[in-house]
Amino acid sequence: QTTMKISISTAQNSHQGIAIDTFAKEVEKRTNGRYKVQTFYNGALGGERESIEAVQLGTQELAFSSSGPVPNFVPETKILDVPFLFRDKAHARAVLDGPIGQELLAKFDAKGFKALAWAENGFRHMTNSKRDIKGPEDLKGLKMRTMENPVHIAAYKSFGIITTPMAFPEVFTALQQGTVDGQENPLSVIISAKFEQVQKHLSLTGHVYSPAIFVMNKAAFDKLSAADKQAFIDAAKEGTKANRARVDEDDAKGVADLRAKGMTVIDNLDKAKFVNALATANAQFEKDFGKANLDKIRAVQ
Amino acid sequence: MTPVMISTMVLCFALTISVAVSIGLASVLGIQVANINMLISVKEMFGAINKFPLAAIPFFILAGNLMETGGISRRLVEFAKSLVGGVQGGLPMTCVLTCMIFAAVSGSSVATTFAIGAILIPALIKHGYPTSYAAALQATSAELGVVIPPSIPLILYGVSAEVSIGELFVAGFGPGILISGALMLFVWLYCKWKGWGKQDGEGRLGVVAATWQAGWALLMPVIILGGIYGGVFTPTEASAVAVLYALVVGMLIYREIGLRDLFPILRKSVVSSAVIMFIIANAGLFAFLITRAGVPDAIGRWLEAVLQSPALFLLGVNAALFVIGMFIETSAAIIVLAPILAPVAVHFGVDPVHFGLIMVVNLALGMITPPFGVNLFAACTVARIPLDRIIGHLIPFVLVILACLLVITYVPSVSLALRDLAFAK
Amino acid sequence: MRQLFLRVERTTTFIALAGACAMLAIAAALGVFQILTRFVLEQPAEWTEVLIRFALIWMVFLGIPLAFRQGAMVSVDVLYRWSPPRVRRWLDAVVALAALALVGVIVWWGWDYAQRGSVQTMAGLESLSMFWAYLAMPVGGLFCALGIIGNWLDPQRNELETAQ
Ligand code: NA
Ligand code: NA
Repeated sequence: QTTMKISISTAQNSHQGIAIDTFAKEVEKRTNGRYKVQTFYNGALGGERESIEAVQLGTQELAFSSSGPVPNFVPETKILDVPFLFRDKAHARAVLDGPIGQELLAKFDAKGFKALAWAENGFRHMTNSKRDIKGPEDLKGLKMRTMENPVHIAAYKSFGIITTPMAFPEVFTALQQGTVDGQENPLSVIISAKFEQVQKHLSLTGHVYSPAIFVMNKAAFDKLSAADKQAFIDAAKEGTKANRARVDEDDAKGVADLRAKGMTVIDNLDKAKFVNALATANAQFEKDFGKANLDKIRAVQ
Repeated sequence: MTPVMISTMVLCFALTISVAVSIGLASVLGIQVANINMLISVKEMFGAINKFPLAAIPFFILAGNLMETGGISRRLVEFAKSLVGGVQGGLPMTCVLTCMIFAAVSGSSVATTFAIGAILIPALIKHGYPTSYAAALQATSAELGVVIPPSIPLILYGVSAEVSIGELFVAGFGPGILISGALMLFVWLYCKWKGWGKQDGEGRLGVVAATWQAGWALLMPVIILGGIYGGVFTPTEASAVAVLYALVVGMLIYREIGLRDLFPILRKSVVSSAVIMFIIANAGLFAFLITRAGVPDAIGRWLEAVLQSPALFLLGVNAALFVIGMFIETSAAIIVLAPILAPVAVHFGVDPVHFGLIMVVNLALGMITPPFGVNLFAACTVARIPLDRIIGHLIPFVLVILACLLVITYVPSVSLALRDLAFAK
Repeated sequence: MRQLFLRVERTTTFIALAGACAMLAIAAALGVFQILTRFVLEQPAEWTEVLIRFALIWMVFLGIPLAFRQGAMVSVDVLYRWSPPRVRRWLDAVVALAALALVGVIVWWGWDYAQRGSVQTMAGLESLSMFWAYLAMPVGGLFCALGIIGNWLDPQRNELETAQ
């Protein structure tokens, strides 16, 4: 029996926890117990960047991570960070499960990874302590904690947001004291980080879709028999199924939960207005990523 | 692997090999024995210090040295002496009090040790206290840094155990005040017993004169606290502001720092911070290997299975955390254990906020228990004494914190009274 | 030979120290700059945080050579204090060899790690690869090795300077 390790940076009881738990169970079942996957939660083996790097180096066989740090390893995936690229979860899932998604997974091979399957973190939404965000004009002048992602930052800046990178452990206090006004994350993160305690306004902007991914060390994957390779890929697909079901559940419950905890939640925003406000940034994205490529994603039904 | 690592480390310690090298070599041997890729060694060392909140450590060390050379520290100590220095043992009490105030600025205990220790350890030595006593006192008092909000460990607990951070922060005040009070009472009695510090009050200024003289120095905590709570900067960034403020006051206002003083100050700060950060890097590698081997996890699950009554559960948890705290760094232990233990605590009817304070106070105690105690290393670095010399004077302090821990554990209202008041429960 | 080595070592340790001091000064200045750009200018840059982190890591690895040179690392010294001078010389050798062994791992694997890091870009500073951050370890490690040998040839135990 061979034991492999997989890690996530969030809790076991989360959309990521269920993904790796399901994956571990399926791998064991599909390989008749010849492979066992040991699961680690809460970043016990390091943050997302560290775990992806560990898989690349081969110090750890497997990792499940949001796509946040992925472009630093596989720049081609940066295209998925373009704001308002996906209409809804169904669209995003169709793209990632279809040929475009498979093509992107193949890009990992050259970097020492075998990317097993796309999963997700969900859509990112904005919260802040100043005002309700109903249209792009409300974003002007807000100090918002963002990821250090150049695509996100370019887009947010063109909204007039004052983008403020900040280490995650500092964000709660910074929001509480007003060092920054807001932040943006998927609902699951907003809830688990308890931002509702320090943020009054939530807008379901869904401005960026946040994929997640199962990655495996390429050499470790290549050592598997053909049947076991398929078993790992199928197990990851099962993990994705469980992950997406949980994201749907969290999204449905999350809004009600945050409302009950006193947040004002703005839904059914006119996304076209936000897209229009992004015109200059979008022109740049079309130059960087190719208009054809972006249109190909947008055209998927 | 774990037994190999621990025995190697103890052997290295005994051979007078430095703490950082001992921990690092033990980890390297553990990697070799377990046949893991050696790249993990450098990867985890780097990862352990590649964290922005750790920037507070070198910055507060630099600020402390600038304050010392620039005359801010001298004036602050004069001021503190004018307040409580009249009593026998007034200077150690001042140390506790200063740490308590500083804890409201800093979220880390190591940063507190350096910032306050740089001022008060030399002052204590000058007043005839043994160096090792000064270091032990400083290491212990600095624990308040993580009990009194803001606190990085409390945030980590709140996030990993899914408990309200706001409530945890409010609940931190009670235990913080309890520990401060107990420490002050203890140092006062201990100094009377030992006959130390009879001259603490000699030659001190009157309150008015000392306050007037210390005006710019006293403005420093006001600016830092005001900046944090006014939303100008984060608690980590506050350490950079402290550097700027100490530099400006020392160079332009008090004019006690000249250009030629800057290199020696930087050099001293670099050595102190490099030593402590190199220990953190090696300890991070060690903790990673132990976590990867599933040790804390196994301890947590074992506790869950064995302990039956709530009182017994709390006693067992405290005993286990005390032992874990000897070997593993506070934040790492919280991240791994809080998600396992907090649900069990709730199952036994313990309030998760109360349990968070128990965990944080206990693991903060781990910062001053050998063999791994970051505060201990920090205090030894400031006081420039070897680790073993501090232990004799440390034991009574550990017992005082243990007593406080028992009170915090079995009298929930110490933590929860203020929380219930603030959140109307 | 010994004198020549110590002269060379004094220069290398000084170079490392000067680099470490510069890194600390730069990091502190960037810390203040980060607050200014956010609070006063309202135009924060995304690269300050990452630069502060990596400057401080460089400071650590360029700063420990001097700590090794001066014997300023925290340690448990009971055995040393109880030993006669002849045993002390042996202990000095053991301490130096142990430190060299660890530093050897840091240099060898650190260089490997740095090379592998060159395919990865820095988050927040995409134009640079992680090679430049990881390089701190092998470079600092080489300076350390010289400092350790220097301390063995000409022992200083600075840690004990003010102990009573
Ligand atoms: Na604090
Ligand atoms: Na300890």
